[in-house]
Amino acid sequence: MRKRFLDLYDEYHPKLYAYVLVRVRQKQEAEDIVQQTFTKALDKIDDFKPRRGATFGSWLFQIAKNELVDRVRKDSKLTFCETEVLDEKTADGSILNDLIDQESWREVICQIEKLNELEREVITLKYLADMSYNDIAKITEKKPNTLAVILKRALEKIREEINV
Amino acid sequence: MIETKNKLKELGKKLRDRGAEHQEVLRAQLIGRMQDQEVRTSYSVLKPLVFSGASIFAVIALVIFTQLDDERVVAYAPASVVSEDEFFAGEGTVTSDSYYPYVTGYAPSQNSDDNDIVDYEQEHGSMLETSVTINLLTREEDPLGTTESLFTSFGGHISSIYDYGMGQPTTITGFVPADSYFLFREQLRDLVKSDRFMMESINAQDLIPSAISIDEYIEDVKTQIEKTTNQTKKDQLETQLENLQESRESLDSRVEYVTVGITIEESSGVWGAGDQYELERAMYGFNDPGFLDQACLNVVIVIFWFVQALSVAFWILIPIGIWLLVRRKNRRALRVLD
Repeated sequence: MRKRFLDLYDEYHPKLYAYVLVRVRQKQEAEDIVQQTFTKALDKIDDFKPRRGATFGSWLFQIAKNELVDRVRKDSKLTFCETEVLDEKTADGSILNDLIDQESWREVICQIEKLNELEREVITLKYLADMSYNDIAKITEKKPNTLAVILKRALEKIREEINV
Repeated sequence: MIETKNKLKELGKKLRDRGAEHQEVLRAQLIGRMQDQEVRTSYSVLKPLVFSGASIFAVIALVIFTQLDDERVVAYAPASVVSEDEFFAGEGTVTSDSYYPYVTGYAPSQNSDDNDIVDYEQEHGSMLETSVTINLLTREEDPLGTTESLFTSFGGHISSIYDYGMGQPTTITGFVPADSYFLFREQLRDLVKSDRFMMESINAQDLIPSAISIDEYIEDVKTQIEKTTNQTKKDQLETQLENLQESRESLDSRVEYVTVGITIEESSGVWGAGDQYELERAMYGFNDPGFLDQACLNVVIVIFWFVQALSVAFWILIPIGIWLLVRRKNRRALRVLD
């Protein structure tokens, strides 16, 4: 089956945007990464060959992950939970400051950040980026059974902390 | 847990909606490159399966065709002794003018003993083939027990044998004197009746049809003459008989031999295991395997196919079944978390 790139762009841009945004927490940086990801995807589109289990979405997110590896400030140890998010003067451009106008949302994101890398990745891909299990399995290189265990564990941790 | 999931989903939606503005801006920038671009998004499982299936089928077809026996036409020379093999039967020595390895690769070895019946044993190479005992009866005991003997005993001979193998009919063509034709035909039918694997169809070629019909007519007229009591009619029939006999005599001078084609077909072989033996049977007679031998052969065949089925199950069905089970288990596990 063939699809227009435009349709795929419209389908995956919101997902990619949410994923990258949560990872970098900076609007401008997130937009740069998303732009770079789609530009590289267009450059390498001829190299994309769907195999069993591999989809355009998983391929796109792999490109984004590679971009994130280059961009994320490794020396930055501050998490979202630790920044002053309600103070406008802090103004680090964090979209989350703008978005998270409710304490409950902030709490949720804090708990996500407290998860280990793999759990955070899976939770972000599944619930924030709304990716399919097939794509998540390909991106994280984990089997669906393993994903189920990771997700369940992560949800329990979040639920215990925020009592939801 | 459900509430946690819902909360996360709601948060995700908010974040995704936030990118709408950037989505439009980036779209405008990249529209020139994106609008004509198409992407293959799915992997066709059918295509590799079709190609694999076609390849397997091609290999099977190749194996079958290479196993087909080539047409074997053997010029038969009854007058020449091709082999000096002799076999001993009883008190006498019987040599066969027509002993000839007519089927390449099936050169029989012979044993001899003091019995009247001389046994030939042939071994074939697959597990389905069993050794076949071929009996050649001596001329003293049953001169008409074989097709070959049948021809020669009537003063005829076999001219060619067509053996296509693979269960196809075998055709034996020979000559018999025209005046012996009907008796020859009767004897052949008796021979065929005694062999459950053999059928015959006689196709008398190059025979002047009138010769056959005249003979039959002559017999018919003779019968009528014997039965009729009306003298007038009897006279007419006798006149007719004379005319027929004159015609028949005139034909005799022109027709010396009748070409007879005999088709040997396997009537009900067991799983096709008998097809390679019909030619030998046609030539030398056949000793039907007994019930026990036949039953053993059936058991071997059943075991063979059972093993084949097990192989298919092991290499194909079981992996497919395991794959389906794992897939189902994974889907069930993930569905809980949706």
